[in-house]
Amino acid sequence: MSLFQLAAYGAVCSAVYYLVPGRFRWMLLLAASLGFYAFRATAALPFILLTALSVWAAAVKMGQIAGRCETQIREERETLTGADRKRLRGEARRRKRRWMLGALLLNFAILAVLKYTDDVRGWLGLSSLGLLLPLGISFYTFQSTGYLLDVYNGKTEPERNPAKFCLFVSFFPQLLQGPIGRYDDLAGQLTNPHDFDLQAIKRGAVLLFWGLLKKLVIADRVLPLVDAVFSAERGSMGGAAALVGVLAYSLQQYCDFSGGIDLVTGIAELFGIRLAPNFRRPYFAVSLADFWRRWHISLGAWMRDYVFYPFALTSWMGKLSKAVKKRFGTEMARALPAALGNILVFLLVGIWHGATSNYILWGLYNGVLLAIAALLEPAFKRFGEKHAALVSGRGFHVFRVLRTFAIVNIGWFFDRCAHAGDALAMMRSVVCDLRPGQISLAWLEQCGLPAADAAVLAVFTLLLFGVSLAGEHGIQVRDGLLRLVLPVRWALLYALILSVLILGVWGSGFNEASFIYFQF
Amino acid sequence: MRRTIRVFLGCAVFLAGLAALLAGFGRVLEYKGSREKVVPFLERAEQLDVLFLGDSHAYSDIYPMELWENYGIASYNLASYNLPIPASYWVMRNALRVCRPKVIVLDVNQVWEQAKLCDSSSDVHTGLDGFPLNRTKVEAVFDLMDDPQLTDKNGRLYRDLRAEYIFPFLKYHDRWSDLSMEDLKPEYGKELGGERNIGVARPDAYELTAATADEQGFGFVYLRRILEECRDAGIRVLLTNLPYPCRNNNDEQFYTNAVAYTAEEYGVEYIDFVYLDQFVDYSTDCYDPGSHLNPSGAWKVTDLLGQHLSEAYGVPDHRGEAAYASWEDDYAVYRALKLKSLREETDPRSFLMLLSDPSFSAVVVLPEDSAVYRDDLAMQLLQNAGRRHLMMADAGEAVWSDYLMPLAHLGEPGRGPYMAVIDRAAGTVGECRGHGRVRTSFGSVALGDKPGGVRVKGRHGSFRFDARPGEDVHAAVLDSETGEVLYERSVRLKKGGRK
Repeated sequence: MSLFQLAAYGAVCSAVYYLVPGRFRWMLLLAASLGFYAFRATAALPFILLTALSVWAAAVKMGQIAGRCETQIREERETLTGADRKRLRGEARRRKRRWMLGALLLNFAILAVLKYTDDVRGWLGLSSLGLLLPLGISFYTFQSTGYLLDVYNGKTEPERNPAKFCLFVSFFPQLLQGPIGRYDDLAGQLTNPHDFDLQAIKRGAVLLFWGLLKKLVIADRVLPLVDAVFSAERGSMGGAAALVGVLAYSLQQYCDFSGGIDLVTGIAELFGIRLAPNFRRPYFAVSLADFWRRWHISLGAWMRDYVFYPFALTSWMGKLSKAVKKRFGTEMARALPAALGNILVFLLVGIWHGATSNYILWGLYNGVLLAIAALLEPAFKRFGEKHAALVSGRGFHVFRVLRTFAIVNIGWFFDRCAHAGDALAMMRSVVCDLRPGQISLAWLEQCGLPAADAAVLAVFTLLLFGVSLAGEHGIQVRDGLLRLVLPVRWALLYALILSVLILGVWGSGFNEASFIYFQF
Repeated sequence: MRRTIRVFLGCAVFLAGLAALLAGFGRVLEYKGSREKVVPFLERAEQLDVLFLGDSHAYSDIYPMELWENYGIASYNLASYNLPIPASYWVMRNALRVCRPKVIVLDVNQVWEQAKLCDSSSDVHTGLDGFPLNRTKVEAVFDLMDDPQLTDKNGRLYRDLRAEYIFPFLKYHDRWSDLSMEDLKPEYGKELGGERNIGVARPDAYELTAATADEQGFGFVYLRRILEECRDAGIRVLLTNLPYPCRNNNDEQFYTNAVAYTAEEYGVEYIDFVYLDQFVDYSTDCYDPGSHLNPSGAWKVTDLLGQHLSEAYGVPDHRGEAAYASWEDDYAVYRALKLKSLREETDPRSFLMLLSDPSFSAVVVLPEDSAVYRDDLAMQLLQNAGRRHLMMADAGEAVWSDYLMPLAHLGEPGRGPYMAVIDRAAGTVGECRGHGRVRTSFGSVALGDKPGGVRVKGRHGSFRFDARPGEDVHAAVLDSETGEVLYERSVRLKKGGRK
């Protein structure tokens, strides 16, 4: 199914959605989602159903255990002492934990087996088994297990209706590459009927085409250049080419991922459903930590809530903190759990991308830098207080943005190269073997980016920059566009749609590239 | 309710505007090859008596405008590159929606093709895209692309490409970087579907065989459909296998031989030009080594078909009829186009080949030391220009008639320049050497008033041109009726010779 078919599928389903009576609308969404999944990956349908039902059952069971415990405490409140209540709750928690861990293990085991078996066999020199990797398995596994942990922690009431929970797990727009939704935010939106709201639909449609523009006009246009640079033999291209390649990858990766997210968010908005934001102009971040709060926000939040905090709040981390406090002071004691937590989180994120050396190094690179930043934060704070005028100036802000962009791009070398050694060689060439003369229009053409395509790329990258800059200054271009007088508004909307249709890289003459995050 | 209607209308108007913009941009962006073929056809569809169908052999070997000029036949060539018989069938079905010809001439070169389509998906676009979107076109796409295994040369399944044939914008949306002014304001030619491939190639060795293959594959299935539907519609069919140097180890020949039995079964005529191997001269008439004729060959084929369609099929001569006045205008444009080709031709041997154009008379002067005398191909091309090709009375016995107009003195030794005057109005050739005068139907042509100088006295005054020193051939193209010199130039032979 091409992106246009996906968009058309969303549009048709949304039209039907508003035609059916309110109480049936969530059922229509479920049918549309399972239909989409069955069409895209029939053989994988049992896997998503297994995840949905196992998590649903475990959550219901945990709810029953907690409910029975509280009922018992309430009924026997006259006879139970405080210690008894604590004991009963502790027993219930242990029983709940067994269910939680069982469901967690089952689902992460499925994910691990299907996702990493071939990687591990590769390390052992064995041939690939070519196991089926169900569509969106990472995203729906994370989303389901997040819900499971919320129920376990008593933050969320378990869903009684398995079909409604199945809709939460399988809502079709987010199966491609997220965002990873939270149950308390999404479930109500999915199951409650939405009235026809033309303005919301217009906003959704604009976002949908903006996403297509980012993906098809920018990301897929620059893809041949990225492929040419990163697949070149070591030493055949100089550092300048590596630099152009990584900047191109930076653009491609952002437009591919955020374009896809815009597309699915736009489709969801056609149903009146607002998905969690996943990007907030990440290349305007002023620090690496800020970058990761703006890039793949839903994964970052998931990692923060279900890995980082539980890890940082473990009892042995508390003990370590105390020991450090004695020796190095309060600031270090506060920073250490965050530093170690960041290393763990990014190591996991790296492994999630792939169990290969480049991704692990990429994860460690980010984790260690964030850890260093956490440890040095007090020093930075003191510097900021001492040089307040400098730090609050626009020039310093721009410097921080550019510095962060450079740090992120160094990380992209690891992310994009097949082997960590290749990434290091490319970075070395940037320093030791620049060869700037290699970059020319002819070279771009050789790399699959003829002058006309380069011009289109430049124009739309500038447009994207302008829209992002406006967003940084609080101007929502989408809303502004929809408030314009009709002739101007329609002209701009036509321009947007025609740009996608005419300048987009799609159709049988091209290999419309899958989303980069589709593979994860 | 009023708001709902307003919303609905607003959406409808927006979508209609988008559709109009897409149609407009689609028209600009599309590859014009197919429209160039089909638009002139649609413009004159109701006047057509003959339709030519087939693949590139028919496309490059038959010139409808020559048929008009010489026989008054209103015809159109809808053949297209690499079009197998099933695709030709659907071209015919689309064409018959708007026209009712008396005769359909189908070239069967592609009858050997077992599949419904060749592997070039672009060529299928060229054959079909220009026809307006209607039920027949959709039927054509679904029928031709119903094989779940059939792929094009890039490995793409034709089934997956169906939408592109129904909405060509899906294929051509990315042509924006190749657009030129012609895409914004396309002008369609007046060649009525024929294409002149200008060049002279050394032909492949060929060998004829009488062996036949069993009738099989979609080529024959759709050949039969064409014959049956034309029979039901009262349209006569003439089957041809147009000439090309055909190898006997090539399956194509076995299948085209088998067509004779199919033709007999349906009682239609089949002219297998491959066996009339004295009809064209492959040494001068090939555009490429093994497939297509150049204009010299195509003029001969077209002329034979013109005679035959007039005499054996009674196709009427519409020249002079008021309803066909625009055809005369179109012919004038076409004739100017032929002169333009002569002017723009940079290859000397191709230029000599173009002198065989039956629409013009010609004067050729060779200096005494011309390199032409030492160039076999150039000598053959000059003899070819002087020939008049005629078909013997009973078709199937077509022969050369070079004894009618030989350049008898071309190869003879002698002093001074040689001149040949090819008078196509009279069907004669006059020659002289050194100096002299040749009488023609339009006046006279004199050589040698001064060295290399030629004076033409025609019905509308006289014209003089001088050979430029150091060149190998001086040639002029004349109006056959008036003797007016339309174009003259001197050329020097380069080494090499053929493509």
